[in-house]
Order: sequence, then C-alpha cells, then structure tokens
Amino acid sequence: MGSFDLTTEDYSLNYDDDDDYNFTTDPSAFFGKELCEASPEQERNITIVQTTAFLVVFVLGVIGNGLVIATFALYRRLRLRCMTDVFLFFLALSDMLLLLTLPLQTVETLIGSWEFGEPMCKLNRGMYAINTYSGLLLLACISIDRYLVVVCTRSMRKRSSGTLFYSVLSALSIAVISIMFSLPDLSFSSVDNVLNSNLSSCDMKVSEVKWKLWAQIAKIAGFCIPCITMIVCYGAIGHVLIHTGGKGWRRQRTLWLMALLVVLFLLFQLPYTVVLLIKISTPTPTLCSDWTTLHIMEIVTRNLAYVRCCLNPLLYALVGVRFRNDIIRLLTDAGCVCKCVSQKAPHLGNGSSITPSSPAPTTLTHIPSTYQPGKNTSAPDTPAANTAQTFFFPTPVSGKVTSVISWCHQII
Amino acid sequence: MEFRSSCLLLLVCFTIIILTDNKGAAIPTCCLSVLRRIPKRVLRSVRTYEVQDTSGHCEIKALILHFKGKKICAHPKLERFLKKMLKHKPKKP
Repeated sequence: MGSFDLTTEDYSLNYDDDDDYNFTTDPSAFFGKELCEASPEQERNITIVQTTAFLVVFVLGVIGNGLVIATFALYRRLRLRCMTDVFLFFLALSDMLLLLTLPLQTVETLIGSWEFGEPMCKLNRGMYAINTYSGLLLLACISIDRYLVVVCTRSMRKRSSGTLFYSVLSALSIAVISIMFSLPDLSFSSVDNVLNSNLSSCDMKVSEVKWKLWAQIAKIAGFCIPCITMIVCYGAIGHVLIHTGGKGWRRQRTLWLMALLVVLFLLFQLPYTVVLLIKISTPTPTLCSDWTTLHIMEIVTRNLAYVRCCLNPLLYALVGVRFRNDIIRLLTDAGCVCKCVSQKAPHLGNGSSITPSSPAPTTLTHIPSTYQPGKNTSAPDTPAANTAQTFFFPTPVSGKVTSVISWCHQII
Repeated sequence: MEFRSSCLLLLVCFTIIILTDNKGAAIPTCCLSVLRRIPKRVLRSVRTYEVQDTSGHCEIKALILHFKGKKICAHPKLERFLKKMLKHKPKKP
C-alpha cells in the first residue's frame, strides 16, 4: 500500500526519506494534473494585441463620439425633439463612458496587476457593464424608431407632440434595465490575489455558481434582444422600400445602409456571444490546450466588441448630411479656417465612404456638389412619400410646410 | 503634424509595452482536474500548497502542491492530511 487512499482515515506519518525516488522522471505521472498556465510568449502576445487594440479604439472612439456629443450640445440643443436624435445622443454618451474604462484596463494589462483599489474596481467594471448593455439597447431603440417612422406613419404622426417625452422615457428605461443587468458585476467585483503570485486582479468573485451563470446569461440576453429587434425592424423597413417600387439611388443606398448596420452589428458582437454560449453549454475542458484556446477566444472576441463603439458615430450619426454640416460648422467655429474645412471635408467624406453615392454638403457653396436634385413634385401622402421624406434628403417645396417628422428624421 | 504626433504616440506606447515585464494572468491559471491518489513519498516532498476555489475563473476546487518545481493538482480533501504532515515535518537546515 504505497498510495494515499481518500477512503482511509489512517493518517499515519511515515518519515522515511527516500531520496532515490524517481517519481518525477516518469513523464506520464502527472499528465493532465498539472496547473494549467499560459506560456510567457502567449501572455506577451496577448498583452501587445490587447493594448494596441485598446489604444486604437480609445483614440478613434473618443474623437468620434466626442464630435457627436459636442455637435448635439452646441447646435442641436433646440432640435432634440424626435426620438432618433435623443437616442443618438445617449448612444454617443454611453459609448464614450464605455471607452473611458479602457485606460484602466490597459494599465492593468500592462502592469499585470490591479493597483487602483476595490472601489475603482467596482466602478470600472460597473461602468463597462452598464454602458455595454445600454449601448446595445439603444441600437435596438433606434431601429424601432425608424420602423415606426417608415411603416407606421399614421400612428407616428399622432405621437409627434409627445415624442420628446417618450424618447426620454425610453432612455431612462434603458438606463434602469442596463443597471439591473449589471448588478452582478457591481456586486461581485473585487480585488483579489492572483493564484500563485503576489499580483492583484480585479475580477468577479462569486461564491455561488448560479450567479456566475446568471451573469453570462445576462450578457447573452443583452445581445439577443437588440439583435432580433434590429433584424425584424430593418427587415420590415426593407420590405416596405422594396415594394414601393422604383430603383432610385437613394432607395438603394438606404437598403444597403440598413443591411450594413445589421451585418456589422453581427460581425462585432456575435463572436463574443458564441464564445459565452460555448462556455455555458459545454463542460469544463480538461486539457490545458483547450482551456487556453477558449480563453484566448474570449479575449479576442471581447476586444472585437469594443470596435463597435468607435464605429457607431460613423454608422448612425455621420451618415446624415445634416449632421455632417453641423460637424463642419463646429470645426469652423472652433477656429479652423476655410482651407482647413476644405481639407476636412474629404476626410468626413472618407468617414462615410460606406455610402459613395452620398451627395456633398449643399450648404457650403465653395464645395462643388455632384448631386443634382430632381424636379420637385408634390408626392401623394403615402408611406412611400413619407419614406422619401425620412430617408432621401427631400428638397422642401416652396409653399409647403415641412412637417416635424420629416425634418427630424432627415439625419439618415 | 497630426500624423507625426500620432506616430510618436504609438511609438511611445509600443516602447512601454516592450519594456514592461508582464506578469499578469490574462488567461486564468487553474487546475482542470485533480489527482485522487498520490504516493505518500510524493506528499512528503511537498514544500507548500495553495487552495483553488470556484469563486473566480476556475471551475473546480483543488489543492496545488508545489513538488520539485512542478505544481500538481490534488484533491481538496488532502488538505487536512497535508496540514498535519507539514506541521510535524522537521525543518531541514
């Protein structure tokens, strides 16, 4: 009987020192039973990739979302009277707050330890979670709002007087839902020593397995709800646009733009959700290589989800001509001379290169406009006409009062 | 000017990255399975051990035995025996 058997209660201590014991020379003795650690090369590669991604996303995201927030604050304060404008403002604010959590995570990645204390740990992870959920839910609300404008035009007109109230109420509801989804992160985040080292780590410490499971389910729900909503709403809008007939370039552009919104959302958010589903539905891997691969996939896909935060300004705000005019005006008022503006304009054009057929801004006369507006005809009051007013940059007809709905929703 | 400052910023950041000796664990360090039977002679050579629990990223409870430069994952029920053995073990000068 040379082995310790868990069933026996005999803890007799035998202190015969057998220095000739060659147990360690047997390579298969501890196969699969050693501590699973990533190699230093893997750690260094992860650090480099993660830090570089954080820096790029942070710089681009702060610039893009900052421009959107500044434009709303300076030029659209009196025009926050329709749903999409309010949602776009809160989306930019939410993405900005999410990006502000990246510097602390970058420092933690570089140093390898969390040095900012437990209150900052909870705050950083809480802000990350809350703004992740609110950003996703705001994207869903934007698609719902566009659906209402295009498909349910009559009911939309009835609500036009109370639009601001409903949009603020929706935004507050999103904030409450996001905070509820983030309660596990807020409650269980703490600073603890990393196993087998003196370094600290800011992580969730959950004593009951069910809370860990609920946190992962909340992340998956936080993705599935906006995803289904966007596919349904933009699908319905596309259906209406296709069946109103015509092959105008603006209708094609809108269809391509909506498809692009859904595809990019799936591209950047779906991989992380798939990895979480794999972690939940499959048993814990027993091989060290499988464990390492799974966590590398989680890190890569989570960083991929950050990229959405710096794409949102391009996809949702800067797509509108009116918004680009406001941003050019902002840059002009900030001290840039006309030459700077003329240099900036192509850059903004590159920002919306996803729509190459987009007309140039028409309010700046010194920028040549390649878009020739067609003849103005009084269109019948049909969903197609309202669709054109919402999505296709209409030219106001003299003598016709532009409705609040069409004016508010010219941003796309 | 803007492009130059951006390149300079990236260069500084890459320098910081390269100079930093990363010791953190981006990938969790965990036992994935445990030994249930260990020879007593191996247990006597254990210098120290750690306890892994399931509150963090790890999925199972385990003891991590530091044994001749290796870290062996053992069943957590061995902790009581290890405490006794380490308590009575004579210190080697």
